[in-house]
Amino acid sequence: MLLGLPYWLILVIPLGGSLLVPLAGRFSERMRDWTPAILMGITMVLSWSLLLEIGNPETQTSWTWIAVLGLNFEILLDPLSVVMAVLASTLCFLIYVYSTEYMAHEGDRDRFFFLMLAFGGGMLTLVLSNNLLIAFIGWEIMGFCSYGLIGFWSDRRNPMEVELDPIVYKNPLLQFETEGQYNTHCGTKAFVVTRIGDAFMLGGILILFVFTGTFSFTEMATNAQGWWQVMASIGLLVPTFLLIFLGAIGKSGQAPLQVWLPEAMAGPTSVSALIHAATMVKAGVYITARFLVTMVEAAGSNGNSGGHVYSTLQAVGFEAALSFFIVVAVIGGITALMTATMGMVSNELKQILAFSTLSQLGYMMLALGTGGILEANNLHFDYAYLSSILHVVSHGAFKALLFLASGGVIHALHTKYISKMGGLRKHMRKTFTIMWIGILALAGIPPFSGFWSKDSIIEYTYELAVHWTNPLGWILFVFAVLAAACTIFYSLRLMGITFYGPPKETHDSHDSQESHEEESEEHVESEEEHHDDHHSDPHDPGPAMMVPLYLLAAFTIIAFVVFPFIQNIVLESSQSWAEIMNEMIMVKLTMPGVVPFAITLFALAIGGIPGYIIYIRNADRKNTIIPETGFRRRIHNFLKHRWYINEFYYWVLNKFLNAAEWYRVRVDNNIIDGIDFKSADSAKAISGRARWFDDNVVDGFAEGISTQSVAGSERGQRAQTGVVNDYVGVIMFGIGLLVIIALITMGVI
Amino acid sequence: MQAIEFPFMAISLAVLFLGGLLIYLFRGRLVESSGRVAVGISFASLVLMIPPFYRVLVEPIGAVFEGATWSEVLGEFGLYMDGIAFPITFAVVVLGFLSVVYAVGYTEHSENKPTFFANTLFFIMGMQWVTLATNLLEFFIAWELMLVPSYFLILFWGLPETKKRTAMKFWLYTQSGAVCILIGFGLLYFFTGSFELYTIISLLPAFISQLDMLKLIFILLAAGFLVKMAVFPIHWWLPPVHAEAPTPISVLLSGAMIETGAYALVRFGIVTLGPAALNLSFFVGLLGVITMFYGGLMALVQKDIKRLLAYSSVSQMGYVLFALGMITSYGVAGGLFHLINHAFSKGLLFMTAGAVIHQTHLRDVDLMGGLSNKMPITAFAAAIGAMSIAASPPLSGFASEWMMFLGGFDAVFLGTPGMRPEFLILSILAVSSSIVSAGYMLRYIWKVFLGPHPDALEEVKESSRWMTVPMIILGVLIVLFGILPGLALDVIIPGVQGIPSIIP
Repeated sequence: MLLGLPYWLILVIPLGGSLLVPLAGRFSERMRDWTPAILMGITMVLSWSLLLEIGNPETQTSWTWIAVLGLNFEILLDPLSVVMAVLASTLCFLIYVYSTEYMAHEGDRDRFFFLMLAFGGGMLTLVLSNNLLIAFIGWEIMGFCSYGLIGFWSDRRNPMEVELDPIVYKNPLLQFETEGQYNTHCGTKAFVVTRIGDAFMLGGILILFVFTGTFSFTEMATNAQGWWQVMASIGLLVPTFLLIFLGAIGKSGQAPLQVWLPEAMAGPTSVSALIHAATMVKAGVYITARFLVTMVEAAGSNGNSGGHVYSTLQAVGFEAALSFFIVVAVIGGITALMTATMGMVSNELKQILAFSTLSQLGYMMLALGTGGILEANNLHFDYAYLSSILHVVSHGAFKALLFLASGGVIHALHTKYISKMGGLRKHMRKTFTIMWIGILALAGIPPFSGFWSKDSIIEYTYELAVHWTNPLGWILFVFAVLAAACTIFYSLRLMGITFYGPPKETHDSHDSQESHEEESEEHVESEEEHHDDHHSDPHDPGPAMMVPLYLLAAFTIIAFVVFPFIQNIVLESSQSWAEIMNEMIMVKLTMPGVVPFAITLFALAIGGIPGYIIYIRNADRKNTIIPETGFRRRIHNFLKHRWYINEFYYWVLNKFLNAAEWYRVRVDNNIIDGIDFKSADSAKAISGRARWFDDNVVDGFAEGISTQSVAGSERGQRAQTGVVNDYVGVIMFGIGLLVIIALITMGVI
Repeated sequence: MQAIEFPFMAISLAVLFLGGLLIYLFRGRLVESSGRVAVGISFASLVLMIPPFYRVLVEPIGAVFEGATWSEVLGEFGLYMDGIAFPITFAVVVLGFLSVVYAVGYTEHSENKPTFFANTLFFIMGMQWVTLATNLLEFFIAWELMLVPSYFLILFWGLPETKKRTAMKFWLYTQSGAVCILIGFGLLYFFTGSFELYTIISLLPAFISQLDMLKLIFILLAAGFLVKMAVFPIHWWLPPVHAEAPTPISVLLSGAMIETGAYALVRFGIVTLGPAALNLSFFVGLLGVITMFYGGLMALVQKDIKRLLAYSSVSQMGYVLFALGMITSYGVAGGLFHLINHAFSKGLLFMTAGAVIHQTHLRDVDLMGGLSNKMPITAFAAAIGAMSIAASPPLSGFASEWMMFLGGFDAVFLGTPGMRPEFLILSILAVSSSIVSAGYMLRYIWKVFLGPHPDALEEVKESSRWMTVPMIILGVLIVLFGILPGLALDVIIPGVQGIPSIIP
């Protein structure tokens, strides 16, 4: 590595450095705040230097973890890992820089920066480890850090901020008196929901280990012990990978475990950016991509059966995993569409972005699943896989951009609901421009980064639809296209409500909606000036927050220049930049690529034009698109309740907890304890009976004997007359009797 | 088995016993200082255990033995530490010392302190002896020695309202288990004519044809040990006892004493009665899975702070029982390693709960909240302990849990030719139970330490150094074993692989 430094420094700097954060805090507040940024900056430089070393030598043993089990820690230097590491470390670095200003006035920053840095370290551990178990450790470190960070403001005592048009939940689990309670609940929810996936994933990893005998990805790829054939022949291949994929579902928020991510917005904005752009949710995509690559290689190699009990193996190729990838693609497609529709009605700024993240993650999974299905049908997987990686990169950049920019908005306005914002384009010009760049990239408008990656995903689903005999391919394609239409709609809605239209004053007071609606156009201006006297206008944040934004915006614009390089790295090809660039553009304009491109453009128009008309052109007018009642209101409510999935889970959980509580109170405390008491009572009762028996029968018997014998003796006493003559008489009688007996026995008589 | 020159382990036990006796005899003069004296005595015994630990860990011999013949009839009484006894002995010694330190802070306001500390030292001695005993009778004596002082500790210093019946319950449950053990030991003696464990192990292969008899002995012994571990149908004594005992004793009860049952199950069940254990493997595993879910679900809905942790102990013992029941080298090694990790993590959690009770005088988690600002060290320690129990890496709970689960999956595919689907179901269930663990542990953290604090708790302060320092030490140990599990596994795994009946 750079300067001949050991590779493990990339992980140890952030993970070990996180422990230094509280120490640094003892000396200087400012030094503490910058510690994560500086350490991650070093890590970032080291990660970038890995780009030069891809493939030679692929793994590096750094240290022996558990000697008896032969578990080593190895760094994996293949294209996927390095690209992910570069992405993660760069975004983490930018976000940490941003946090120095964003968090500057919060308390307890020791904890915050400690968790932030450890979070980045966990992601790097995951992507760079060649050992599946250690990768899982990185995976879980992220889970823990996300728990701590989402619930960071756990001690806030103010009541929760209420939306203008709030959903009222009846479930007792969803009632929160204070914001602190709510935040803690969100962190806990994130941890528990992802843990559901993780637990099964651990099971899958361990089953896989039983067959491969190794946790090393590179050894798995050589088909160690012929695991591919063995597992396929006993039908465990797909179930095992589905278990592992459950972990990815949990972490990447795929359906049906998507419920935690929208609530994960309770934390500070830089945390949201970290979770969504750089780490955590990308982990699931990474691990799926990693297994796609490993499985393709393992299925392709013969492997040594290594004296395994199963000696005769039939040839099993990659098609054995077809149904696994169908599941991946379907879950990805469903997630992409479902969460995009939820995003169309949300009123919480960051929550809209969270839904959009879910939807984009769905695209990535869809691309990976498509790649797997293509491979199983003897078509190439690598371009679909590449488009997924490209989308990870471009989404990482523009989503970090969007979150950090919206963090500035929330910071300035002190509300998280877009329904209380409006007209910010006059006050936050820079943020406004940057936000537009991010939104256009998210919506997939050329030439911004999101377009290139998302459109190529749609293109490969189209290819799948055309070439695959299964009609499922068409369904996936339709899902992808519809999701694109929804995406542009909610993107424009977000921009329109936040930045256009009349300004609202709720950023400094909690007035009700009515007063706004009665306000006429003329009053708005004076109202604004009135505010200037007491409060500063919302304004763009300072340089530590803006510079990361500029960098991300620049990348988002020129991403298409960079993508050919990434393609060369990921596919390990050596085409020239111009060739790839030419190919990238031409594929959209010639047959057969032009068909999906045209369909996508049509979908963008379907979503974009209403979005533009309703929320941007008519931003100044009152929005009456959703009537109070009727079909559209019902749809709106359905989406607003997030398809009722979340509430359904809470309903089940509540019932379940009630049942457990009932069991505790009625059975565990009463009956089992009661059995103890009853048995004690009956033991007492039995003892009482035994005592009666003892007293009356046993004792009576013994006493009876003794009484009788005493009485007998007393009676016998009378024989003792004390008169010598009596005694002599008796003796004489006795002797006489003896003499007679003696004579009889001697036969005399 | 060669004897070493200086009997460190025996002297360590003697120090604890005589120290306890001295504190009791001089209780009049040691009213205030008895805690510190007990810390000194306990530390001395800890130091005396270091050479044997060192020999087991570093030297290739793998085992330390000290023994003497007491009576020709009863055979040799010995103290033997190998890779199997090492984890539990280590846990008892370290946790014993730390709990004594903790008790100094905790018993500030208690009455009759010298007697308390004398009993605590006897209790620790009993546990330490149980883990080292080599003779059936010796084991049984130590087993009872462990019970008697803990009975008195609960009876005199337990929760005032219920201590009498709790102590009685504790006594009756564990004593009825001990009766089963005694019968089992009697049968073993009847068959082999020896009380010495290693003579018995060498003789038992001759009785392999009488599998039913071995199974009967196994079931009798297991019944006794499972009562100690508080496994599902006979778990009921544990929650009230652990919740209502004085906290330093809860630390020992939950952290160490119930684990001696798991250790004894390995020593007598798997090592001694291997064929019977293999035969009953599935049922042991099934009991383990039921226990882990039952304990976990009950922990989810408890109101009493210590009872929540007590049910979590039930659940964790379910994990250990499941792992031991699989009789694979990964499973048993993971189960034994988990004894250390559970001892430290649960000990730490009970310490935090005790500190909270001591500082707030509350036991109901619904009345607490937001203590992380008031008691930052305690809160951080609780987070470490809870995450370790929830098997979150890089803490030590994960390091052993994955091995336990892997043991389960190994048993599915490597046991007999072909697959054993019932073990697959068990293993998947066991893995999924870690969701419940995460749930109740996060609930503990949430209810006690997070959220805004109620107004009534405005004045709460961090507890004294005597209580926080043991917590910090345990926290560091948990992290250390999490990052470097090899420290213990390098000893445990060779020890486990030496067991003949185990599946590799």
